[in-house]
Amino acid sequence: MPPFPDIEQRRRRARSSYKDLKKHYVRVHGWLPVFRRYARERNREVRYLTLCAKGAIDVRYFRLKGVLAHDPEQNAYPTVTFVERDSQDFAAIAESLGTTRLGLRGDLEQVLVCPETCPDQFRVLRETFPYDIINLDFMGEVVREHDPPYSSTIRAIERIIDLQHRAGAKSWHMFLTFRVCPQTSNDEANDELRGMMERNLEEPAARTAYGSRPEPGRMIEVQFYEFLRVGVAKFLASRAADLGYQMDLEHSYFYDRRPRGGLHYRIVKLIARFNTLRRARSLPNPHAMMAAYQASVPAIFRSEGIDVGARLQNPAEEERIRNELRPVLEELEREGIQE
Amino acid sequence: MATNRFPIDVAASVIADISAGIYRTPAGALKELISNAFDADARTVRITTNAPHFRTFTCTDDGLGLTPEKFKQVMRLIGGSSKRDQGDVSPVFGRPLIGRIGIGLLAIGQICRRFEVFSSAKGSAVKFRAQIDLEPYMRAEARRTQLGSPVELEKGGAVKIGEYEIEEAEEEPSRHYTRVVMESIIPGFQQQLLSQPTIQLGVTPKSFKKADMAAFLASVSKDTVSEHGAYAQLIWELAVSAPTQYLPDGPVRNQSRLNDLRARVKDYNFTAFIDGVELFKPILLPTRRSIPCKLHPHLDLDKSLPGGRRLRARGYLFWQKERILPRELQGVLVRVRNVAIGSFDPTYLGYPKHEGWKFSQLCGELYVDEGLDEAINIDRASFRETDEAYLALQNFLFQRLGKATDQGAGIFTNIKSLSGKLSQKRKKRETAARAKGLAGIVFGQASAAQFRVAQDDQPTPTGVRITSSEVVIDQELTRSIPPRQKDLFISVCAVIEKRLARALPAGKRRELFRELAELFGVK
Repeated sequence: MPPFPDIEQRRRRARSSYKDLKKHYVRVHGWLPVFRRYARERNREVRYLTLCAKGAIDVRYFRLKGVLAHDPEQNAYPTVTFVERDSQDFAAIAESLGTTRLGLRGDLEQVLVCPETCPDQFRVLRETFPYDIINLDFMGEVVREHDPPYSSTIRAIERIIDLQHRAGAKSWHMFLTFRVCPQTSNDEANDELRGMMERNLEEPAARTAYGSRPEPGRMIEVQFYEFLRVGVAKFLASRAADLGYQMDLEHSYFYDRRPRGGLHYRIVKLIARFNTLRRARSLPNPHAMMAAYQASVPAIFRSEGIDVGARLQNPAEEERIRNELRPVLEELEREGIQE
Repeated sequence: MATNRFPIDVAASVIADISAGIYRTPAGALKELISNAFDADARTVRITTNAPHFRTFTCTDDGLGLTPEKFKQVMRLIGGSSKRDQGDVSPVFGRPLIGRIGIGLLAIGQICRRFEVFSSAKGSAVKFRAQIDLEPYMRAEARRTQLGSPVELEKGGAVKIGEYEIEEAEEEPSRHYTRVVMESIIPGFQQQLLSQPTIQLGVTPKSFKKADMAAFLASVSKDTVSEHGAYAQLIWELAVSAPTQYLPDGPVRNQSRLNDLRARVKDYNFTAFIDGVELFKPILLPTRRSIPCKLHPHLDLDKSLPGGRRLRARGYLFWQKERILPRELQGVLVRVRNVAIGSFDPTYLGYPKHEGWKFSQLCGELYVDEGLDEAINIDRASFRETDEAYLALQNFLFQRLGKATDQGAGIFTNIKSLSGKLSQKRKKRETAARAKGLAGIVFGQASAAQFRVAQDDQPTPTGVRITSSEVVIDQELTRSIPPRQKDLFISVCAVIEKRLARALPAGKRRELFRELAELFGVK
């Protein structure tokens, strides 16, 4: 466990982002429409897994928007599972949300990647699959600077896709948030992503969709943020195909962070839809897998990230997002969730 | 002869024995955390059980909190509580302090092997995290190791028993709280909570409704709380024992004579929540509004004991003419400084006589404000039964229950006579209703007609005479009829007299009535 002051620093960072309009822009424009879709299909019984942090703003917001099942009588979110590694924050979430489908105190990456170290936690979590929406914000890079390219975050994501497939999820969404910082990126992982991209570009359809972007090797140098947005999305599509899904990148958003005294970095948020290619436990079809992947790649190349900062330059838009966030912040204040 | 002195030391495992063994149920351990919050002048304490999975428990209060130094002081001398050094009441709300021994924190060992404490004291710019692992205390080696000595682990390395980790960080001075996060929940406890209730209607985490202890009480009031499963039992025990308010209308409906008890808990300004549900004392009597009942509102005691001790208590006893349900409410509950010691005692502190059904129709509470602290056993669920104060309390209760007091006869005698009177009333009511029904048949409609027995010196011509307002029967005919059958016999005779008056001569009718009387009188 990291030292207490480090945890506190991370918590302070999280707290400062409570009122963050950029984050909320993505909730409003990116996540909410997805929730609405599932809420219509499932009469609000949207099965939702989140790494929600102490304020659980996403859970509160979707409840207020009427797209997440909530029983005020029983003080329960019967379809929500939250995972929190910090014990203070776990307590705060558990106390404020009431009964949830599952509240897991632990490190999701560790639970998924090293189930042998916490078999009980893994078993409990596995039993709650499948989900309609899985919201993964690991609060860091997908491949950290000193990790091997096949990092624990990537393995955790793969494990989730696999668990979804084994549990028979046919169509579902993943919201993936990660940090991009050129100074702390993992060169080995970048090389692998570059190689994959270059191989993709041998396909005419992918080449056309790639457009006028610089070649992958050059892109690392001049458009690193874009390189990683596309590279991670494509990697996700590739692993999804291997694990029985066709992945479609529906939207992606990005915004910049300039912490005082720290390195400038960018937050990238992907909204990906997964549609099953084969039934759970049936044999994989390599041709279908390849076709699914090849169908996903041009779409990813064609996609463009939405610059949240630029959108919020519009005063009307900013006001709208502020108004959307206000009830949640008021609720947090009422419940005294600040410590 | 030379005299040598030797130190007394304890094995490290004593910590484990204390932490894992002193409380009879996990609720007893959580009760200690609630008491700590109460003593710390918290307004609110929230417990979560991570239901329905029961993997991580948390307890957070907004009390005065602890500084790292204070926490270190507490941990340095387990069992050496200094809570009452500054007086007998809490500094902010003036609540009577509950804690006395200083082992409340170790109570957590009943629930888990590892826990973290986060706290920040009011006005302090520092908060801390303490990580406490009780696992080493459970090792076999701990039995052979002095407290504070290192224990070699199987995989190498050593753990010094009697150590914990503490780290500090900045905090805003205006924030004050204590949070305990309990992990590695003891499997037996977890399994117990996960086990199915013996009856399907049991309270589950799902059915335990928000802010509705009344609904909870109603759902467990068929028989026992325990049959509803361990989770219901946990909620029940916490609700009964915590120094929280009564349910609205509780403990006895429409009884202003208990307002002082209601007010005392209300004035403490203390609320406790479990899994988001506010706890209230689950006592609401009578269990049905229509049951005959009686309240003995003044079980008040103020007595001087040898050695300058004083025993002061305030309580009540409530009787209803039906079993009190759930069964866990039957008996008397002793609260010392507002916290229940154990559960409702159905033996009434060991009342020496068997009073049968009366035991199950009584419920009462005794708030002991002074004099009984020293009699409480370390488990805070029972008393040292040889303690003078306890004996005095016991004697007081026995007097009230069984012997003549300044308020008249003892409560059990009172119940007996009240029960008798109520039974007679009921019988009279039933008899009148039956007579009315029978008269209705005889006279062809619901009538207020009376049945009367004529004296021997005023016999009727046939044995039975019917007028517009009464049926009179000769005493001679009813003599052998059992009381229960009398009305029916008179009614049969009346119907015969009414229908056969013209068809049969008077003598024949009298004979018929005599034969019927013999028939009804057969034993």
